[in-house]
Amino acid sequence: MPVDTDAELVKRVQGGDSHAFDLLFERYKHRIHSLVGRFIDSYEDCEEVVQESFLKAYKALPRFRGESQFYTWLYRIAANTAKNFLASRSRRPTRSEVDVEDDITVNELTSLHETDNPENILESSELEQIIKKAIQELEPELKSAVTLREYAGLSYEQIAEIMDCPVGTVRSRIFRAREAIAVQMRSRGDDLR
Amino acid sequence: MTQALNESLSACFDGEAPRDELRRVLDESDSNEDLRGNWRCYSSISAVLRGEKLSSLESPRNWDELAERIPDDHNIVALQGKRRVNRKSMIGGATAILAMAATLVIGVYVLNPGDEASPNQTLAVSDDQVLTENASPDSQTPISTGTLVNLPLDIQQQHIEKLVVHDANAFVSGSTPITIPQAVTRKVSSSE
Repeated sequence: MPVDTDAELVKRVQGGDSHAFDLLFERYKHRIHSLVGRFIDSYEDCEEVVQESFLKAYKALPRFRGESQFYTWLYRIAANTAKNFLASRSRRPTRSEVDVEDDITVNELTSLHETDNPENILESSELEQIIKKAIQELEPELKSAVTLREYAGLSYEQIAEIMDCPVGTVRSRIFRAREAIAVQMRSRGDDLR
Repeated sequence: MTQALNESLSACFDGEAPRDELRRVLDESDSNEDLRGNWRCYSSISAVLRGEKLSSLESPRNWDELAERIPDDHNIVALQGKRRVNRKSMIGGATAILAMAATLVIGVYVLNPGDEASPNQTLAVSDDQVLTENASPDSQTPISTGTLVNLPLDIQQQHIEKLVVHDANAFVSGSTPITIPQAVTRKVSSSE
């Protein structure tokens, strides 16, 4: 019986294992970046807000009761952080609209990372091209399996029904697809991203 | 072994691994940098397939230290689940109450066709609750709604109807209202 990976990771973070939060961060940083990108045009500002959102989530995680999915909660934090960021940028915020603390936080975090340079933006774009190319080169069965999983968001069981094969085969195909793409990524020196 | 572990990681990434396997992989990932690297790869692949922009942020690895530098945001806790009212169970509950009320009313009319109540008539409350007028005080155990027993039948009926309406309204509005501080409400609504 599959279990919720996020819930297990959250439980570990709440138990003091901050490494588990690295996995949550890696898992959702792109999705949160995309969300924040709907509010904020600038890539570097976007990254600032993403990082601040994760830090806020990390700090508040001991009080997270699990009444919603972790991602739903993180999504709300990021959306609020992005809107507060915009408010702080567009005009001097009044205390009733935006916490003064939020404004300070964003400014403080500006110096915490070094992502706001053209190289990083270019690397991301290059990496995206490499992954897209690798996906195109996959064997049809592997490509179908991983696409149904990632793009259509289907479960292994649903994919097994569609592809008319055992669930174990789906699991194996998705893994082999990922491995094939990861090999291409590593060969370009972009592994561990 | 490594292949098997990576396949397990892939299943964990998809939330398709059983508990034991998930725990084994997560335990291993604490000390296995390759596994963590693969997790990052899988995340990037997932993002591209979903049409998301790739973030170039890297995990700071010192979350505690950085988190110390940001102030507590108590509003974040309020951002987790808002209690949702299950409409199906709401409708089901209201229907059950109305059915019970109808049973009561019909029971009253069937057993008391005339306007005057006979001294020993029985008021059917439900299948397992039968109350008798003029019974001794000891036997007049109030039902959950309280003081029906010794009232004239027409008043009992009105009382029951009021209770039914009250309970139905309670179902519709939610029996346990959630109090959210105004400031939090403003924050949440401003994010939508």
